[in-house]
Amino acid sequence: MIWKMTRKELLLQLMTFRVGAGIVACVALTVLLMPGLIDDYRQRLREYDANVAANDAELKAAKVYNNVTMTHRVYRPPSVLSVFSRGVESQVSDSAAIRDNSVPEISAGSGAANPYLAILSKLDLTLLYQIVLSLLAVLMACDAVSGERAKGTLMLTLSGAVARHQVLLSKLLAGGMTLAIPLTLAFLAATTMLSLSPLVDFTVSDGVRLGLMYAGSTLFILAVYSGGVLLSCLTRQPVTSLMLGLFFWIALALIVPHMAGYMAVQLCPIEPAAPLAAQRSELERVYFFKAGDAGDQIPLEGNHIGHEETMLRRYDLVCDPKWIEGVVKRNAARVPIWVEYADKVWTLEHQYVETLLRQERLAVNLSRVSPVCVYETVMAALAGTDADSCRAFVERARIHRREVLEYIRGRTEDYTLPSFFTPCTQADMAVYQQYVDGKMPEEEFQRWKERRIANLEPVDLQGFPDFVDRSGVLPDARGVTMGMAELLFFNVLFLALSFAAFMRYDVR
Amino acid sequence: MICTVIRKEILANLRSLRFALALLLAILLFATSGFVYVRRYEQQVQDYWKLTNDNLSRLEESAKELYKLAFCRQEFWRKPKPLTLCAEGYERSLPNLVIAPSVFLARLPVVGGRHNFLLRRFNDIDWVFIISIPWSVIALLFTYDSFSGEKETGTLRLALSGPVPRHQLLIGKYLGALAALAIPLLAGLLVNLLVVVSSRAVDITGTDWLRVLGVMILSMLYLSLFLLLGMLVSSRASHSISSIVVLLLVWASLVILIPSFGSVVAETRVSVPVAAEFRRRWMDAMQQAERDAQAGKYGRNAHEVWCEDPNSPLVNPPAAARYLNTRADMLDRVWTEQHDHMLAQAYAGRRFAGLSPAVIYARASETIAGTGIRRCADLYRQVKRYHQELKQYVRDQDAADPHSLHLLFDSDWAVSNWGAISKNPADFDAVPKFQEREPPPGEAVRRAAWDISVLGVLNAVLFAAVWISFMRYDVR
Repeated sequence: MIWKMTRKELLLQLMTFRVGAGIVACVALTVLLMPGLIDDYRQRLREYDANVAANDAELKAAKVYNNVTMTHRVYRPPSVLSVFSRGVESQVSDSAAIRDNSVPEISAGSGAANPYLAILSKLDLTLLYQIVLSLLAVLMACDAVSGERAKGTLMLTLSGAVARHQVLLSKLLAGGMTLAIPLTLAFLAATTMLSLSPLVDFTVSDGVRLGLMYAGSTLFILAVYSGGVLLSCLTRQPVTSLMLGLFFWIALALIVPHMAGYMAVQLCPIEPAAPLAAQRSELERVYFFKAGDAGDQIPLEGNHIGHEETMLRRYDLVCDPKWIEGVVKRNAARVPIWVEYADKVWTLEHQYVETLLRQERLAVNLSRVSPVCVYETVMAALAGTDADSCRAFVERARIHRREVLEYIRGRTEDYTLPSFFTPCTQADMAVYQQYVDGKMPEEEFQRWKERRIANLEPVDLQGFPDFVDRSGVLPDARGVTMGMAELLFFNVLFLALSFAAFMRYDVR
Repeated sequence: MICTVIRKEILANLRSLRFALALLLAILLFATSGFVYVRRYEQQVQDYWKLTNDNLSRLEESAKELYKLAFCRQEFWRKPKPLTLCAEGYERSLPNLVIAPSVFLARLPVVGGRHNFLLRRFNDIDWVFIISIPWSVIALLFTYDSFSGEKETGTLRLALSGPVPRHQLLIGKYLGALAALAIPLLAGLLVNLLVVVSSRAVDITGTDWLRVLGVMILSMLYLSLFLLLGMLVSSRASHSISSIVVLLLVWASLVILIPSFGSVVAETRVSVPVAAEFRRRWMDAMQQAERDAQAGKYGRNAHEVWCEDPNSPLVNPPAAARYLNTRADMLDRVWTEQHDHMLAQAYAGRRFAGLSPAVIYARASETIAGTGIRRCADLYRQVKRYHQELKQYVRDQDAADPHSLHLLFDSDWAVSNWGAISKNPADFDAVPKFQEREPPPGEAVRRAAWDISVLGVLNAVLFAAVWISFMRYDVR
């Protein structure tokens, strides 16, 4: 009986204007928006590829190990699923500098390159589904029960041998199946357009996440529909349930997402960034003098000629043994001081970032009253564009930094080998000594210098640690599970309340 | 007869569930907005004056030696505005700080203060947000069934069978709905203003009240659009459910999706040089200037700025001044171009988003309230103007010192060691201090004239469309 009724409800729903309009709108908007979203993703991917290539080129061009920690950066690739949910990805830095005197930490990102873009809200498919599909769900559900009551058909149906719970269940099933149509078509359209686009690569991990996104979207739409059916079971007129449904929708879909952030800023205020900058400057001043004093205690004798390929790729081209000895001792004294400075600054920055994350978590928790916000959180977590995913990237960058410093320490025997700061060989030293002693004319030495610069081999980076960015299928299984569980909870709650309300519903 | 129709419509709306819900929502939203705004504004004002006084202290310290005024590192903060109550204009996320290491350079504006970049982008619950988004839906709910609903119940046929001309019914419905919508809205605005004014933390001047009135009028113009849109679709549909479906889809496209697509247009159609490219341009400008100096373009030994003794034959202060001032101008051009690119990108996105009446309304409100991106962009220009004033002041004061070389250029080391500018103390009271200037209300209205006209024209077009549609509407 249930399946007969469900089929009847399904056919009735499919033949209505609102469902047809909703399906067309959903698919048409997806198809219209996707080219722009894909274009934007490809542009970010091209920038990422260019940055990675530039970084690799810098590493290959490094002539001394010191250059590595002056130029090396790691980058977070844009998530292909960011087309579905942009999250906070564009607000957070997508790169981390690997330096001996700084530890990677989350910072403001590419949006900071143009902060004026804050006047424009971000577009992704999640926004489309949050608004259009949820509206469709509300419009479908508003007269599911009260509409039939107003027409008189509910009394007729229940006067037969049909149990109330069967009637309600068939309505819920039919509504869910109807809503699955525009959702599935929209997802298929989006996925097809994305996968057919050049430069876009789908991995198995992306496929699994996409499947979970679809499941999450289904739970979300069902929760909104169930909520609408609940309102329909609590009212006698479809107009009343429509008004209530739309007002609740306004509150949960339009107001709560903004109010949550707004309230979080008031309830969990953060300190201004200026004192942190002042503390950082003070630490820099203290450690600058500390490193300077440590170095000054070691006399620096001898001669050298420096060379600057770029502002960050500088080294001592040739030097004499006394100079090497002095610099080696100074580096051995100074580098650990800079590493200690980096840890202290990071502690300050990390404390500050923790206050930012606390405020962000409060905003997310306050928004949990709305299934619309929970859905957005789940989609961002699955797309890898939420704050936790950005944190995970920075954590991996920190691990990579430790590995790089260990590697360089190993290669230079704790910064004691000349290869840390100069490519000068014994043969070079001999030529330089001749020049210093006046045994080589200036012109000849300049020619030799130019030849030497042109023929310099890059430093040996065999075994250099690779930076591994994405870790596994799900970056934050806990966050996703919680979000899905909440959506399921909304479904169960609304279903249970609908059943309770319908059992006592006066159908006359 | 029109008055009767209007009265009837108002009474019908007053007795409806939507009016009660709208009133409840208005009071809750506007009251919350008012309370949160007062707290936030107090904090912002406190932060602003502390930072500005710190800046003034630095300037006062520098005034002990005239030349140091030109090399005083200053921070210019955007002053909190009371009218962010009406139109916050995303100022929370827009740059509010310009750092200037000297009068020769103003860095790109940045977002300073208590900004959390990890928070998902959210709108401030200001008047513009409340009216442009939730209230526009409510406006649709007031008129989606104005004709189709009455047709379904049969009352439209009855009404028109009497001596009520169609146009009077139409105008009566429109004005009645406008009045019914305005009541909860004005109640909410009143609650909001009461909360703000009674807190005594916010000082709203006479001019500000004019701007508040301007925003209120704009809001009614904006909401009227959606009332008319509701009436238009209602006059084309036979069933109210069909009209609400169409209206909500149109609303979602106009108010949510089109404005959001502006960001895609901005990022894909207009490029801003990335940080690496910007650094490269900056380095190129530096190196070009240095090459020109070494080639003798500015005079002999123009690039020799590190010699302590101004009388040394290696030093040529006038040439060094020409070189360093030219270099400062070149670098300033690089910064300014980057700033212009950033603005162009944002404006391009906003121009596309301007297809949405919500964005037109927001833009016009920000202009009238004197908030938003235009104000933030003005801050940068005003800082540079201030720098010119300060430079002129230093030159004027320096002219009185016979021991000075009267050369002001971008090297505090050289200026100090060569005595290029006087080291006499300056009168701090006479030193120009930065004051953010805002355009007068008349200028604000002039700037918003285009957007106000567009809203007016859209109202007129929609009204005409409703008129034509209803005149041909089959009421049976």
